[in-house]
Parts: sequence; C-alpha cells; structure tokens
Amino acid sequence: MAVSAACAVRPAFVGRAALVPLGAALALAACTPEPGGETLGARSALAPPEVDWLALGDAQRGHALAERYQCARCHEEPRLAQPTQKQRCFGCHDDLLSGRLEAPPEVLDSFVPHIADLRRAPSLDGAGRLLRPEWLVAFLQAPHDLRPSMVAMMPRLAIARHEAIDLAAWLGEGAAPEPALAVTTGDVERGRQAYLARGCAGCHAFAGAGVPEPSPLPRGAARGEHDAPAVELAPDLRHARVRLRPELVATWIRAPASLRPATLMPNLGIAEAEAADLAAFVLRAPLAEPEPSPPRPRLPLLERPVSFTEVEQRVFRRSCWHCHSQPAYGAGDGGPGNTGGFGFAGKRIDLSSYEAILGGYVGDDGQRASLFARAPGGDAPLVVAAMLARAEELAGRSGPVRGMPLGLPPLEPEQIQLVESWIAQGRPR
Amino acid sequence: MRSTWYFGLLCVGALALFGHTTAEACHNGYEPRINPKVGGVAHAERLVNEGYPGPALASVASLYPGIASQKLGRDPLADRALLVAARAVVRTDGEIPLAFGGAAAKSGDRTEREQRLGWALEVLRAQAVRRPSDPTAATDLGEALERFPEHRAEARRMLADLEQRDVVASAQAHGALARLRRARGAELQPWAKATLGAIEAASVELEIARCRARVNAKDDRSCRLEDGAS
Repeated sequence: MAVSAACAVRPAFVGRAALVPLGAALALAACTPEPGGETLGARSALAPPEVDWLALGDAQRGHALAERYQCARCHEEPRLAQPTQKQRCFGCHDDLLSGRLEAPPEVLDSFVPHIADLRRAPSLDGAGRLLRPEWLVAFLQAPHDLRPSMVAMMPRLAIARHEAIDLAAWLGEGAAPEPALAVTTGDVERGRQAYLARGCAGCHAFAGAGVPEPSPLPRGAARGEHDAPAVELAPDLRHARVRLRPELVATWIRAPASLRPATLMPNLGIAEAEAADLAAFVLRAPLAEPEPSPPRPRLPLLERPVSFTEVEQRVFRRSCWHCHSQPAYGAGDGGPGNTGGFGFAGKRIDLSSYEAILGGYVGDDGQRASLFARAPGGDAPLVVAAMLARAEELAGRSGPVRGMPLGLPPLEPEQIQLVESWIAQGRPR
Repeated sequence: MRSTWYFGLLCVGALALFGHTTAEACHNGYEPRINPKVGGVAHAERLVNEGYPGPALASVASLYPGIASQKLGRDPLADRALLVAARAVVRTDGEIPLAFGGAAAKSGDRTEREQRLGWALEVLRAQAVRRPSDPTAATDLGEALERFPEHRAEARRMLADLEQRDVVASAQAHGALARLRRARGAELQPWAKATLGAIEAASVELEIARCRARVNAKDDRSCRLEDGAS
C-alpha cells in the first residue's frame, strides 16, 4: 500500500485532507495525472482532458461493483438493490430519531446525542452527471473530507483503480462527454459579491477564498432540534474546480434540480449572467494554501490501572461495536467488520465482548491472528495502529493499516491512550 | 461455595422477575426490548465470563428449560444459550444439575458429574467443528478437555497453539493451560526435569499471571493450580 512519493503531490485545493494519496492500486499502476491538483484544475477548465474517462470504464461492471461495495447501504441510488433497514448505515439512527423503535424514552434520549449528526449521506442519483469522472476515480480510491459540516465521510474502501474507473462510468451513465473546451464567461469579483449577497456561505464553506464560513452546526443536539440536511451535505467549494464539470456549474447554480432532481441545493431564481459570475468565482477565485494538519499526539501509556470495562465503555462500545459485533446476538449480522461488507471479506472481528476481542481476527491466510500483534511498519499493536491511522488518513497520509473507525472522525488521543495502556498492562478484565 | 451458588440463583431469579433489559444500539438492535430472551442470554453470558457459572447456568435454564436436550444449529440465540450452559457446566466442574426442578440441588455423584461434563464436552466439540477457525470455540473446547485426564494431551496441544498465536479467548483457559503444563512438568523424567522443568515452570507462572490479569477479580477459582477448578 506504499504510495510512491513521485506519484503523490500536494494539491493546493485540498482543505482538511492536505494530501491525497493515490491508493492501493496505484502502487502497481503507472502514475497518472493527479486529478486533484490545482494545475490540472485550472488546465481542465480551459483545455481538453487528456483521457476520455467515461469511455475507459464499463458501466455494467461498475454497476456490479456498486452492488459489491454496497454503496446503497449509505447512499440513495435507485439503480441499486435496496439494503435492509438493519444494513443501512443510518437505518437504526433514523428509527431511533423518528421514534419507530420501541424502547424507554430515557434510553432513546441517551442515544440521541451520539447519533443526531449521523443520519445521512449524499444521494448518488445524478451525481455522475455533475461530477468529473477523473475526480471520481481519484476520490473513490482515496476519499478525503469534502463536507465540513458532516461528521461522517466516504470511507476508505479497497477500491482498485480499474474498479474506480468502472464505477465512475456507471455513475456517469448517460452523461454527456466532457466538452473539449469549458469556458465560463463570468467575472470573478462580481461573483464574489453575488456569493456574499446570496448567502451561499450559509451552507457552503469555501476554504481559502476569503469568504465567511457557515456557522458550525450544533453537535449532538436533542432530538428534532438539529435538522439541517442542506448545510450538512453542502461541500466545501474549494473542491468544486476539480470535482464538478465546469461547463455545468452555472446551470447547477441556476437550476440545480435540472441536473439532480433530489438535490437539497435550492433554486434561488438566479439569472444567467449572475450564475456565470458565481461560477467564475467558484471555479477561478484565487485560493490561499491551506494550513497543514499538525500530527496528532500519541500520548504516553497511563500508569494507573486500566480495566477492560473502562476501555469497553469509553471506546469499543462507543465506536467500534457498530461494525464489529456479535452476529448471533439478536437479529444483527455482526456488522461489516465481522461478517463482511462494503467489499471487505469477513475479518470476523468481534469487539463486543472481552472473550471475542481476545479471539482476534481472520487473516489473509484464513488463520486467526491476534489483534494485539505489532502492526507492520510500527511499534503499535494492530488495533491501536488502526486507530492512529485514521487521523493520518484525514491528514492525507494513508499507510498499510486501514484507519478506524472507517469513514468517521478519529478517536481522541486519550481514547487511543486508554486502549494502548490496557494492552500494555496485559489486557486485564 | 454452595451458598455462593444459591445466592447467585436467587439473584438471577430476582433479575428475571423484576429486572429490565437495556436496549442497545444498531447491530445489537433493540432486541432486548422486543425479545427478553436476548437480554437474558447476554446477561447469562456475562455471568459465566465474569466468574459466576452457577447463576449463568440457572439463568439459561430458566430461559430454555429443556436446554440439556437441545442441539446446536436450531437458532443463533438458542445456540448461544447452549454454549453458555456448556461453558458453565465445565466451570462448575459438572456439579450443578442441568434440569432444574425448582431447586438447584448440588449433586456429589461422581457419575452424574462426569455425565454432565461429557454433555458439555459434546456441545463444545460440536461448536468447534462448526466454527473451525474460531478461537473462542477452540478455547472453550480446550478448557473442557482439560477436565478429562484422557483428553489432556489434546487439550494441551489445542491451548498451546492458541497461546502461541495469542488468541486464547478466556482467562479460564490460561488457568487450564497452566495446570496442563504443570502436570506435564511433573511427568518429566528426572534427567529432563533440570532443564525442561524450569521452562515448564516459567510457562506455568506466565499462564497463571495471564489468568489472574484477565479473570474477574472476584473469581478466585479459575486460576488455581490444583487439578480441576472446583
């Protein structure tokens, strides 16, 4: 999974994810033009693309891959088989928040602060019409944080490059080929004024463009208080110049539903000329270089005794248990981290009990191995290495160990310290 | 010890009558609320894992009265209850009858105890066959085998393999491995005792330390070096 330094460039446009690695498959494939870099972003807006990405991929294979990677577990996409309510990423959360689950109110209320911000993902319906295929190919292999108001993000799946190309072809099925020359005739400065006047910053961040950011959403609000899906789903516009088909940006601004009928982006009745100015601002405004993310500290081992009960309550049951659970318990399947899902084979990792955690995971050789063995290329036990890797992934530094929790913010350093201390103390009950 | 078990049985009965299960999120769903057996089995599992095999056995027997005649593969929850019962029988050394006729009379009859242990071994062996790469199943089986002198070599091999891969799934199995290694050390020829005996003794100490670190603090039986944990 090592990423060649020659193939990894620092894209100027990337916000919190400062470096987009090219993913596992690129270790074997030749270097391709970096789809995320500012250079390409500017060039693509003015020059024909070098590769016809849609023609390269096979939409039918892409469809099969979308089923295999279970995209419909999190995303709405009518072309895919619908998952069961229990398989849906946010199925239980929806049920909890809408009062459909039978449980005492005090129990429901205890869950709400943890799940209020975890109940939606963007729809895929029509996404391929608006998004650039080459950007999709890069993003599917090495996702980065696009939506600052959203807690979850696209997880780092094991999607190979050729698979990403097929998926992009499937998503873009029916989309017009990218035109040879995409020109926006608007004026950047007038666009900036329109951006401020229209209140775009109420939903969108535009990092580095020198415009206000949206107010942070209240986290973990009580049931019903926080329901701002449009704000949550609004992407940071810093990514728009490499992410969106430039020739469609003005249309998207004027009549979003004409491209994506289910979009939450509002139609503000913007005239053609103003939309062109806004598009020019979004696509061509000078952007300041983002601050690099400082590395997260790895805290020293605790000297006080740490019990499994404490680790379970503060870490395993809070985050890990959702995907690494016990399949025989109730009607669940144990989660994708146990019985498999999202394209991953079942690793049989069950973090729901002390005994199951000691039982380890199924390695690539089909044999059980310890979760506490040293991770490759480091001194941390595997389970800790995965927790540490998540923060690194968000900073754009993907390594051989997949960061956990998948697609969610990293655990706090104090939580990781707790797990590491518990392991170092002999994993006491 | 008998009074501890009776007290445990009383607690379980009170819990069954007056306790309520806590709903838990997502993959464990809200089943405890929908089906009280789920919470009951989870509770029994926790009891047996934390060193209260008698109350655990009483708990699953109250949820599944005919558990002694059940086979694995009926449904996941019943399987889980059956495994709790088998594990509990091993950890009580077969002393508590499986079918409760209202009271948990302790039997000192050696044959009955052996029958119960034999039943538990059969259940745990079947589980290990069904889940060949599951260290929890292998750990439970190794622990059960240790109770039978004729199976101790098999138990030692099984638990040593798990220990080598660092996937021994219970504190009690570390205790069993310590006893097995100690017994092998005692069986060594005098000429080998000087060298191999020291190695065995060190590994016994290590397993006991692991057992003590990983067992519930109140469980004072599982890490004993005496033959059998009861």
